[in-house]
Amino acid sequence: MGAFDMLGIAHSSLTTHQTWLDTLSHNIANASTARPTDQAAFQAQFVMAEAQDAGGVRVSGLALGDPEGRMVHQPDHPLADENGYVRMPDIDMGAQMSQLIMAQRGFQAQTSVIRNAQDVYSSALSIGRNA
Amino acid sequence: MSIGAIEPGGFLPFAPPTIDPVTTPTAAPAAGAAPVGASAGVDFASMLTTGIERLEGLQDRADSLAVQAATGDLSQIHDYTITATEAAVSTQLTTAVRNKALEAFQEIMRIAI
Amino acid sequence: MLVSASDSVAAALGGALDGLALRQRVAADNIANMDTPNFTAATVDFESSLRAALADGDVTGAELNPATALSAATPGVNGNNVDLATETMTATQSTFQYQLLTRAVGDRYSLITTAIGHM
Repeated sequence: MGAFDMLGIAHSSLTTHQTWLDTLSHNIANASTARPTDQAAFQAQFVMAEAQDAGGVRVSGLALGDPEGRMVHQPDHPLADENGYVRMPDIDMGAQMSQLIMAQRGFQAQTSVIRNAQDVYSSALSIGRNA
Repeated sequence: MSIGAIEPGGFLPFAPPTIDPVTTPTAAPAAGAAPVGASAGVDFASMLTTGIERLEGLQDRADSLAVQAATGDLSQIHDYTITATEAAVSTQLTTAVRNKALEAFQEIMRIAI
Repeated sequence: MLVSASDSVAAALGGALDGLALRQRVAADNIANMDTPNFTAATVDFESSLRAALADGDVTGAELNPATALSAATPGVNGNNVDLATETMTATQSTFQYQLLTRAVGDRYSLITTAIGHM
């Protein structure tokens, strides 16, 4: 219903921010996932969001990070190659954590949009009540 | 027999007040007084009929907006609530005028003979 | 001149109120089952049948059947496809719609009461 577009738009943003939070925690959880040097490193996921014409936002895809990763010298690692190197993911923990805070703030902002929308609808409904 | 024209205190159920840039907006509260008052020879019966037709239009508009709200096609909530309020106030106004007219008629009938 | 107490508009409003009440009940059921394995969320659609009945010009109680369908959202790990945000949105929106329609029903009857009251 056109009258309740605000709710639908806030909902689309809630879903997008939820996906963002999920991918960030996925990246942070795997920040130390080592792989053998003959495989690609763990690739961080990046959410790509695009605005919708009808209002709101949606996730248009997931981009993957650098498959090269960093070569770290750990000879006693079970996955180390003959030179003692393993491939670690190229994830900047600081950047991921600050994005986590941004995603959380965005999510909270949507809930305040929804609260606002509820106030607006209540006001519109009470026009002329008991007139 | 027709009741002669009542002084320009004719009414129009909620003629939406128009913002005229030239004149001052003092006529807004007396929604009906300004547009109708000019012609003193207006028949009260026709004034009443016009008012009732306008009221019917308002009620129909409120009904159609309510049906739009039921099927989920209403684009703004306040469209319906404002129209419903207009219809309610106009109904009260029309009812009050009708009652006053009836009282006046009964008074006159008592005077006769 | 005035609306009659029960006519097609009143039937349409009543049917919509029934559909909205069912929608709220289904949303509550979905939210209650948000952690149940292999649970499929349900949705309610009464607007389509209401629009069709209004287009036909015949709005009686028998025509207005709110249809309950299973949601096509992708399920999660345990086969449960309830999305809490969607269900909350549905519940919020149908609450406001319900208030709007009960207001509409009340307003129509109070018009009649106004006209009767001063006799």
